[in-house]
Order: sequence, then C-alpha cells, then structure tokens
Amino acid sequence: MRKQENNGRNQGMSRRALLDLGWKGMAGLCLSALAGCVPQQTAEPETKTALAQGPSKGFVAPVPSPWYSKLSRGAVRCELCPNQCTIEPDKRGSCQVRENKEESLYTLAYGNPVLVRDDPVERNPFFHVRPGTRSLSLSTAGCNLACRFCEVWDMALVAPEDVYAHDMPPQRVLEHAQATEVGAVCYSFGEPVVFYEYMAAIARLAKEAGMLNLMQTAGYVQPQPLAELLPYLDAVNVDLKGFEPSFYREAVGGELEPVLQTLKQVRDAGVHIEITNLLIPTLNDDMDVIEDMCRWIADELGPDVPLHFARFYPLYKLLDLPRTPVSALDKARQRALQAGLRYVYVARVPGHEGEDTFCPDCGELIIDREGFVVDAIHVEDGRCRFCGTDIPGCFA
Amino acid sequence: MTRKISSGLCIALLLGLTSQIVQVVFLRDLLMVFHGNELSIGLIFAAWMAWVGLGSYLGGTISIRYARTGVLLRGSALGLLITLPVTIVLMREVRSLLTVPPATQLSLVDIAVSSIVFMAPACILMGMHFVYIVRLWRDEEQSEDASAAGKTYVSEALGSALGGLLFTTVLVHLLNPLQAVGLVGALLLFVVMIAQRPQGFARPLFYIGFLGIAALLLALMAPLDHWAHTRQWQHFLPRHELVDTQSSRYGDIAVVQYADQFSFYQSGQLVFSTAGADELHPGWEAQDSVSFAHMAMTQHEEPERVLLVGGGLGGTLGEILKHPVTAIDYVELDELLLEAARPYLPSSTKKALADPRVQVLHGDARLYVKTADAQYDVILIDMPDPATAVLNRYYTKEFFAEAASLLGPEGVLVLHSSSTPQLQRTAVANRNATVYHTLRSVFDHVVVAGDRIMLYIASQDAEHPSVDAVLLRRRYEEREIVTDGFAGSHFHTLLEDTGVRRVNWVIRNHGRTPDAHLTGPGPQPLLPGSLAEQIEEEAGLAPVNQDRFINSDLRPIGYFYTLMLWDDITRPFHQSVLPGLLRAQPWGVLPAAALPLVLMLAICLGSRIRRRQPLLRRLGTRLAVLTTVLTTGISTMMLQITLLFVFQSVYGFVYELVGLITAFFMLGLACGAWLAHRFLLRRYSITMLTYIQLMMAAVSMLLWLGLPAIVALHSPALLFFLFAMVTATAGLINGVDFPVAAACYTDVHRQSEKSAGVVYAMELFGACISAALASTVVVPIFGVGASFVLAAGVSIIACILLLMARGWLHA
Repeated sequence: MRKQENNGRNQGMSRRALLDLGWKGMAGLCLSALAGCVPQQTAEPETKTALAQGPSKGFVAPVPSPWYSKLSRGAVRCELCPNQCTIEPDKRGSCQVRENKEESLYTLAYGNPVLVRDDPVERNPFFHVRPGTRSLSLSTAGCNLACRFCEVWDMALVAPEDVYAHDMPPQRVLEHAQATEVGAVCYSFGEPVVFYEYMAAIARLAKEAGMLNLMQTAGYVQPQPLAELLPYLDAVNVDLKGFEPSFYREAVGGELEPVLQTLKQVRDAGVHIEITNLLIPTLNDDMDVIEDMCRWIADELGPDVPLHFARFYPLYKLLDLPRTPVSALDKARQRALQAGLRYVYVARVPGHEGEDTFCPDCGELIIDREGFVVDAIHVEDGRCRFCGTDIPGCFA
Repeated sequence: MTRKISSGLCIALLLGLTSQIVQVVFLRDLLMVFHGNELSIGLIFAAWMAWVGLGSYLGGTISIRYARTGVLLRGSALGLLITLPVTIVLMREVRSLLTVPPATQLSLVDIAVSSIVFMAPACILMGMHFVYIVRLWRDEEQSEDASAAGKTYVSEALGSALGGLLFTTVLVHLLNPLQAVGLVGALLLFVVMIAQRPQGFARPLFYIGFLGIAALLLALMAPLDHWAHTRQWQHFLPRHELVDTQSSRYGDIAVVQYADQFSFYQSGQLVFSTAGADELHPGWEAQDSVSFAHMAMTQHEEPERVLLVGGGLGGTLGEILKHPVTAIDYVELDELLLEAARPYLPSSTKKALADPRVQVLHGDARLYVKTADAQYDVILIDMPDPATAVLNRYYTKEFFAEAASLLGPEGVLVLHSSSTPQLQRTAVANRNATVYHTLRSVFDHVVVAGDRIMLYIASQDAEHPSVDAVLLRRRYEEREIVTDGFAGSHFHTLLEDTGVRRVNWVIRNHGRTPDAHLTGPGPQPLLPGSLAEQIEEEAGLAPVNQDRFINSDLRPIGYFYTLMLWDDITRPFHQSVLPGLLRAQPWGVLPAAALPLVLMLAICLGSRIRRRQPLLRRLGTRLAVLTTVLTTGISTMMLQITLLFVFQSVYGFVYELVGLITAFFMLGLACGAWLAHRFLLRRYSITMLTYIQLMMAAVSMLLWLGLPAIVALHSPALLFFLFAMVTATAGLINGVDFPVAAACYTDVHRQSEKSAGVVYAMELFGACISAALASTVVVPIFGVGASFVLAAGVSIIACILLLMARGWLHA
C-alpha cells in the first residue's frame, strides 16, 4: 500500500514535471511561431559597394558634414536647418539622413539619389526659367519637415535604408546630365536642403560646365549654409506653404519665420525666385491671409516674383479632404494680382488660363502653356516681344 | 406560468433584436469615423464579441451573488437605454477625443483603441443581459439543468434574424441611428418592466407612460442626431457645411459643401466631388474624371457602345457622351447615392443622366457583367481603390475575365487606382503591380501611365492600348470635342515619356521574385527603355509570383496591399505589423493548435493517479468542452464570413440576398438549438458533442473540396440555393452545439447561469478571433480554401479532445 502510494507520488512528481515541461515547450513553440510574424529589418549593411552601377537598396556613402557644433557627452547639434536637432551618438536628426558618428556629423544623403530623371522645367514648377526646356531632376531620401500633404512621402519621408538609391557621385551626375542633353540640374521633388553637401558639390561642377542650377525647396534652411550655396544657384522655387505660423506648426512641422528669412536672403543675393503656394481647402486658403502673404511678397521681395497657386488633390494623410475648388484658385489669383503681384499662376490645372504668362505692361500673352507643353514664347532676351518690358527670370 | 414563459421568450427575442440593430448601427457609425476597410470592420466585430463575451461571464458571476433577477434585468435594460445613445454620440466625437487632425484618417491604433473603448459599456451590458435571461427562465421553470441557456440562445438568435430584417427593411428608411437605438432600448426596458412588474403597478398607466416616453425619445433624438453629426463633420472637415445626410443600406451618405464645390462621402470615404449646379466650368473642377474619360475613349477608333462601372456622377459620364457613342450602360450600385447627389450636380451631369443614349442600371457590376448580353467597345471602371473585400471584387482576374468576354475583338478596358509618383514603398508598388499582373493574366496587352493616379489600359488587341500622345491627340481632335478642363495637348502632359517609361518599368518588373511582396520593387535603371522595348522584353522576364501578385476571388490579396498602403500613410512612426503577416506561414498556427492537445495529454496522464482522478477528470472535461465551444465559435464565424465573401464574389453583391443568407445562418442556428433542446438534451453526452464537431469538420472539408465546383456553376438560382443551404447547415451545427455544450459544462460546473455565461463567453471569444483574422489575414493571404481547412482543423482538434475525455462526464 505504502509502496503504491510512493509510486503514485513519484509518478505524480514526474507527471507534474512533464506538465511543466509541456507548458514551457508550448510557450516556446508559440514564441517561435510569433517570431515568424515579427517584422524584420530588411536594411542592408551601410557599406559602399565600390563603383556599383545599378542602384541598391539602402545604399549610403556617409560623408562628413561641416554644419554642426559639438555639445557635451558626445552629442552634436546639426546647424543646417532651423530644426537644429541635438543628435546623440549613433542617432539621427529628424530628417533621417544626418547621423552623429563618433562626435561628428555625417550626411547619409550624398551620392545616393533615389530620383534621377529629366523633366520639363515647368513640372517643378519654374515658369520663368528657359520655358519649354528640360532639366535633370534629382533627389535623395529624407526631409526636414513632415507635411501632411506630402506628394512624395514614399521617397522623402523615409530613411535611406528603405529605398533603392543610385550610386552617383557628383561627377557622374554631371556626366549623366550632359549625356541627356539637358541645360539645367534641378534639385527637386524631395527636399534638397537635406542633401545640401551633395547639391553643393554638383552645383559647382554644373556651373563650371555652363549648366543652370535650380533648386525647388521648402526653404527651411539656416542663413549661413544658404549663403554659401547661393552663388552657385540660378533660380530657386520656394514652397511657401502658408502664411500662418500655426499652420506651419501643425500641418508642416516647422516654423514660418525661417522660410520668410530664406526668401529675403535669396532675393538679396539677386537669385531669381519663384514661389509656390499649395492651396489646401480649409487649412491655408483664408483669402485675407493670402492677401497678406501677397502684400508681404510684393513689399519684401518685389512685385515681379512669380507666384504659383497650386491645386491640392487628396493625398497622403489628407486623403479624405476634397481637392481645391478651382474657384478658390481663381479668387486667390485675383487677390494676388490686386495686391500688386505681376506674375500670378495657377498650377496643376492644365489648360487653365492662369498657366499662361501675360506681359504686365501691354497685357499680351507672352508664354502660352498647356500643362508642361509650351505652345508659344514671345520673350526675347528677357524682354516682351510686343512692348520690350523686362520679364524676370532666366531666358538666356 | 404561460405568461411568464412568453415573457422570458419576449425578453430574449428583444435582446437578440436589440443587439443586431445596435451592432449594425454601431458599425455604420464607426465606419463613418474610421476608414471603411476590412481591418476596421474586423476590429469592430472582434471588439464587439470580446466585450459581449466578457459581459456574459461577468453576468454569470453577478447573478450567483445577487438573487433578484428582476432587479438585474431592469438595471441592465435601463443601463442599455442610457448607454446606447451616449455611445453613438461619443463615437462621433472620436476625432476630437483622440485629437486627430482634420481630414486625416485614423491609424490602426486609433481605430483599435476607439472601437475597444467606446463599445465596451453597451456590449458588456448586452452580454450580462443574456445571462440574466437564462436565470429568469430557470427561476420560472424551477429547473436546474441547462435547458434555459439553450432556450435563451434560440430566442436570441431568432431575435437577431428579425432585427437584421427590421433594420434593413424599415428602420434604416424611417429613423436616424439615435432614434433606432433609442426605440429598441426603450422597447427592451418596457418588456422587462412588464415581465417583472413591481406589485401594484397599474397596467394602462404603464402602457401610456411607455408610449409617452418612446415618443419623447424619438422627438429628442432627432435634433441630438443632427447635432452630433454636425459636430463630427466639423471636426473632420472644418468650414465645410454638412448639407445633407442620408442613410443608404450600403452605408451612410453625407453631402458637404465648400464654396461652390460639393463632396459626397459614403461610409466616411470621399466618393467624389463636383462643381455645384451654378458652376460655369465643371470640367475644370472635375479634371481628373474628365481626363480619365478622354484617355479611355480615345483608346478606340470608333467607340460606339460603352460600359461605365461607377463614377458617372463625378463628371465621367458627361465627357463620354462627347465622343461618338450610341449607347452607354452606366452601372451604379447605390440608387440612393444618385438621388442624394442629384440636387447638387452640375447641369452637364444632369443633362448626361437624361440623355437617351444613357441607360442607368442600379445593381452590382459583378452581377451585371455575368448576366449581360451585350458587346462593348470600351469598358471604363471608375471605382474607388480596392480597400474592402467588396470593392476588391472589381479588381480580380475573374471580374476582368467576365468583363473581357463583353468586349469586342478591338475592345479596351480602362481602370485606375491611386498611386505615388515614385512607387517606392512596398505596399504601393505591390498593390499597383498586382492590378497590372492580374489584368495581364486576362488581357494580352496592358499599358500603364500616371503618377498620383495610375491608369491601366488593357485589350486583347496589340494595336489598342496606347500611350502614344500624338495618336490619341489626333483621335481626340478629329472628334471635334469642345470641353472645359481638357484639350488635345493634355495628352502630352499626361503621357510624358520619361514618366511612362518609369512607371511601366517598375510595375512590369515588380512581383517576379519569390520574395518581391516583402522587399518591394527592385532597383530601376536611370532611364528605362521605351515602352515598345519593355513590351518586347517582358516575355523574357521571370514569371510572376502567382500567389502574391494575382488578385483573385478566392485569394483576394489586393485589399490586403491596400490595407498596407493605408497603414503606411496613417501610422505615426511605428513599425508596421502588416508586412509581418505577409511572412506568416500556414504552419504558424500549429503551436496554438497543439496547446490544448498537450494540456489534455498532461491531464490524461495525471488522471491515472486515483487520488486526483475526479478533480483532473473534471478539469479535463471542462477543458474539452470549453475548447469545443471556442473552436465552434472560431469555425462557424470563419465559415460565415468566408461563405458570405465567396457568395458576393461568385454571385454578385445583392443587399437583400446577402441579408437573406445571414438570416439563413441565424435560422439554422435557431433550428439547431431548438432541435437540441427538444431531442438531444435528454441524453446529452461528450460523445454527442464529438459527433457534432465531426459534422462541423466534415462540412468545412466538403466546402473546401466542393468549392471549385460551386464557383464554376452558372445558374444564379442554384448558386443562391447552395450558399443558403450551406450557411444554414453551419448555423444548424452551431445551434445544436451550444445547448449540448452548455449542458455538459453545467454537469461539471454545477452553477447553471455561470456555466451559460462561461460557455457563451467562450463561443464569442472564438468568434472574436475569427472576426479579427478571417477577412484581414486568412482569406487575402492564404485564400478562401485555407479558411475552410482552418475551420475543419479546429473542429478536429476539438474532436480529439472530446475523444480523450469521453466517459468522464457521468463517471
């Protein structure tokens, strides 16, 4: 009897152990199954494949950046844009392409453009820069702002590891531009400020080769780096996304004031400016604010600065916001003309009268556009063919 | 006694009716706030069932401690009457409560949090109510067995079937959501009060009082509904005026005005915008639709007969008529959408709708293309992205094949989907490559163009799909069309060569490696070859990954990628879980499936010790029965969702028929529960439960094996009959299962209400798992067949467990 009991107990013990083992085993199995579902980082190692011709995913070739100051405990402060990110060791700034490596700032957006293509200059949009010609557009991953209405979010609002990039040092970009027979390089589509060093290097080469350098930017940059870049630039299109600081803070993720400073600085440097304002229903389309903006442009930058009111289409995070009514674009254009601006356009409504350029003096149609197609140009040597008025821009 | 039994029946019926109506109303209202995709629908159902399950568990616990059932019932009914309207008002405030920025969509986390939090009180109360009714019934009959649970279950199921019918036929047309829930809430309370009338309560006074309260509620709810709706839209689209709301059975419709523009939303999604009636140049306003129409119509030299699927109200219809067409068949699912839009449409669209060449057909386009006896030169599919299972049906190879059969030898099919200009991220590239490869699996020639909207042009004739701007411009100009917002030169802008080369290259080359769906599109050359070169090279490319890049009715991967795209856009900087699901393997479910088996094995071994035998055997029986109930919940919900889904794809989406099939399930359920109650409960046993599970497994396996034959059927009547019968059978088995399982569980647990609560909770928990997974993961990633196999698999596990525990129950 006792023996039986003992046996039973022993058996009990071993069974309990078995049960316990079973539990643990199951837990292990479950975990291993879950592991199958856990997202895995597919990033490639950050090494440069020597002289690779084709693009590869996550290709970065880090280059030191001069635009930083050292802080305590190994951190650095990036001085390129007004965000002035404090970056801890081995971390990145909010643009995702500037990294603190051993107490120095490196740019990860150098020689690795994601987008390289030749386009009509009108696409950027530049309406006063060699109309009807093509430029080589170029952009890397990364952005220092986070607009809710970003059109290229799958390229700009990502880390360089997440996208395929071409291995194109500045010299190769120049060679490619020459091979495609474009007259200009346009730093566009993404945000060129974040690939500042790369842009500056290409701009130097392109200028020497007699090409135009065009920059399409949100203008969110510190004065000093901008000052060093401006001598190489021929034209800048600044996205002035709104004229209310609260809009910039909430929908763009930045401040308005630095953008206005950029505009003035570009103007003072004598570089041709065009301004694009994406008119987003309810967010930045208050006509009184638009009029304030236009007056500011006329007073501070001059009435000859071309202003493009671009139509918003449901995009990115604002997918459920209806597109801009064309009547709102017409109203904005009217207000801008009343405020004294002389070249006011409607963008992204192909065929709209607001795409054409009219001479502010004689009123004649001097550049006839339909989308990116330029049907007729009546500008000679930067002057209206009909009355000889100077038309601002690069027409040579 | 007779009166009391009928009162128990009445309350249970009403609870079923209430819960069904509340479920529909909650779903519709939440979808107005959320983005209406499969994931949000799954989450809402899952949260619903989890909370009702918890409620029934809690109800069981409470009713043991507190003997006065009448008070409990009155309390929960009163609680429901208050909670239901408050919940709806709170749901409409979700955006402001979560501080979601205007016009942005809610993220997965927002949706999960709000559906879980907001539905909790009402669902818990409903779950508790179920158990209180069981208790009431048992008190009345003075019986200790589980028959009360079974009867409650039957009555509730019948009530649900009735509620669904009542809502779609009457309530949706007459009452706003708050009035509907107010009315059913008041009715429930009224019946509870009558059944449990306190002593000395004067009856006529009571009826009059109820009628007064109901009338007052209806009157009060009208302005409250308008107020809550207006606030919701103010948060969503500030400065837009909400000019009209309509309840269509396909989802709530809202019309908002901004300046001279009217926008139409259905289930919270922007359907289209138009210029108002007084606008002089509607073509500029609707430039996307205008361009789409002219791009499509110039694909054919002489487009005479045209089929337009959706989108006509957004401006497409009027533009098509400017081409030399003789007849347009325009298929629009929702008649009410057209009626709601009519007062606000520009005169050009109104004129087009009245044009004798236009025939407006209200119904499902899938059903139409199956049954139509016509031949078309151009078919335009102007539908929203495949964001839901229903919308995805217009992007599957079966639909493309059906549409292709209606095209003449030189006919062209044109459709569009949203995109990004760069097609960089995995989700956006996967979705658009899937649309291309799926089209290509049917049509010999497909070309692509676009940036933020991708256009797909398909034909069996090599000469027809064209992105040659010069050719299309010539055709357009020869037709001497005068329109706003479009001109011949636009072809050059829309079909700019480098852009066309790039998107064609990405879409044609993506999806040709085993892991392309995980890695996204591969590297692109600096300047891809011309379209002609690309077409020539395509034959030499690796074959397309069929499982991941062909969207079919039985493996609708398209809406999963759209879900990923939505997650890419809405999630605030956290790593997405959805690509991880794409990596999931079928064997991933094995550990979860093995868990109860291993536990049972341990119990079996343990129960050899005589001293612990009774305890362990009771434990083993409980485990077996509860697992059975859980798997029944999983498999029936899986079957129900999958069958409905397949029916909509194979037959077509006809609201009444889909409703009828759901009603068949509920009827089957009620019949099953009644049968069990009448014939089986006297000699219930674990063996009986085993047979029931075997039947479930057999039905699931038969479905898996027979599905290809069913899909190939051409007779609509036979299809409907088959689906109705199969769904009713699944319901029947589920219905038989519950009372028998409840009886077995009561035997080992002894406390009747608590047992009913636990069993009901467990079944709902199973259903909750299925609701969350079936349409979001299992069907799109593994296919419809996998979901039947899964349903069979879990039933077999239950069988094994029950076999191991057989003979323990009455021992």
